[in-house]
Amino acid sequence: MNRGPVAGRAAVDHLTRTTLAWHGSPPDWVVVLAEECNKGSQSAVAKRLDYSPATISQILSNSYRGDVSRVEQMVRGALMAETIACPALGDLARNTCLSWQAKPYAATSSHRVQMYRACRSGCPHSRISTSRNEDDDAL
Amino acid sequence: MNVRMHNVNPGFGTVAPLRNVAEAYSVAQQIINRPPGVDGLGLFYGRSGYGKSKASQYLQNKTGAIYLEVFDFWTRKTFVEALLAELNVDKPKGTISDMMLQALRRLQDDPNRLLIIDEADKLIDKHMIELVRDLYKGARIPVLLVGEELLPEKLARYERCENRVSAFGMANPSDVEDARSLARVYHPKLSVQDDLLDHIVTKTNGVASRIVASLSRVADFARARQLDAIALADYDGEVFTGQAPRRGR
Repeated sequence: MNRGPVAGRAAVDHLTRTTLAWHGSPPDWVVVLAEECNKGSQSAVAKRLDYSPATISQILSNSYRGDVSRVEQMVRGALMAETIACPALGDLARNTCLSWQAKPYAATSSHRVQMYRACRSGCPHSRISTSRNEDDDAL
Repeated sequence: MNVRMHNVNPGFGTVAPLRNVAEAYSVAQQIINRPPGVDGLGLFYGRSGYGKSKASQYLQNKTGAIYLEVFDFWTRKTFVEALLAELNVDKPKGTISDMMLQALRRLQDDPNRLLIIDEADKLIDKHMIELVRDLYKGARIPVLLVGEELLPEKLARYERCENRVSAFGMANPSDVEDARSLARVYHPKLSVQDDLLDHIVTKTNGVASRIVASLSRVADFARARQLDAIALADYDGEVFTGQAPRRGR
């Protein structure tokens, strides 16, 4: 059974490991991510970013095959305090913006419905494909 | 039209720092940071149009709360389904009790996460308020009930629920200070003088939504005359009071 790090052995230094994996020059947000993992645990950071610990590990080792730019935005929002000017909510953390976009339609409150519309009416921060809306405009 | 229109209103993008927003925030803080042994039900109530829902949305975004707004057509089942949808369960299945258990389990992941239930008086009208007490008992999360003026009286009929309430907040009509904040948020480029704001507040009885509607008329008026600042003497347009116009005889 794994009972944590063996006494006397140094914990994993994510930053060194990451620097090696990114050939000496990881992007700024990956450095922040590695430093955050050093401070706490990889899984705690994963929870804050709403990704699996495996994804965080793959980002650090430069082997993630999913949407890296989305992970970047989540890191910038959750760990680097980057905000965007949301047309509906004002100043909003970048990762919260992406979480709103990921929510499916559900009539749980008029606020949620309003946000669903706002993310789909040509918001400059939206990553949702608006091809359907553009068709509507052409009519 | 070739130009792609953004139908999101750029002036709408934030919540004005009204007294009601501060009031709602303080109730929420009381039940989130309650000492052990103190119950965690909060009430925030007041007449419609005072900005209760707006304040709740602000709370949701500030504290990462779960926000539900009870619709009139909701049954017990839709209530639980909506709760699960807010807890990121896409297609909830099973009986009401199965779903309640699932929701309680999910709520355990973050036991200090606030649950805001807007239009909570509808839950009482439909005899569904005991579900909220079950949620509170089963998950021990802070719950803020938001509703109309009579919410405390309605809740008093359910003594077991009422006993759990440990914080109250009342939504109040807007004053000139609040109207000034609204003007700053919704029309940042226009300076509306205090005498005009005062006039609007009196005419609208301090109902925040009507103040916003009136301010938008003032803004249209000012834009048409290319004014940067406007006082009561300059304005001969209408104040939106919510009264439907009457035909002259």
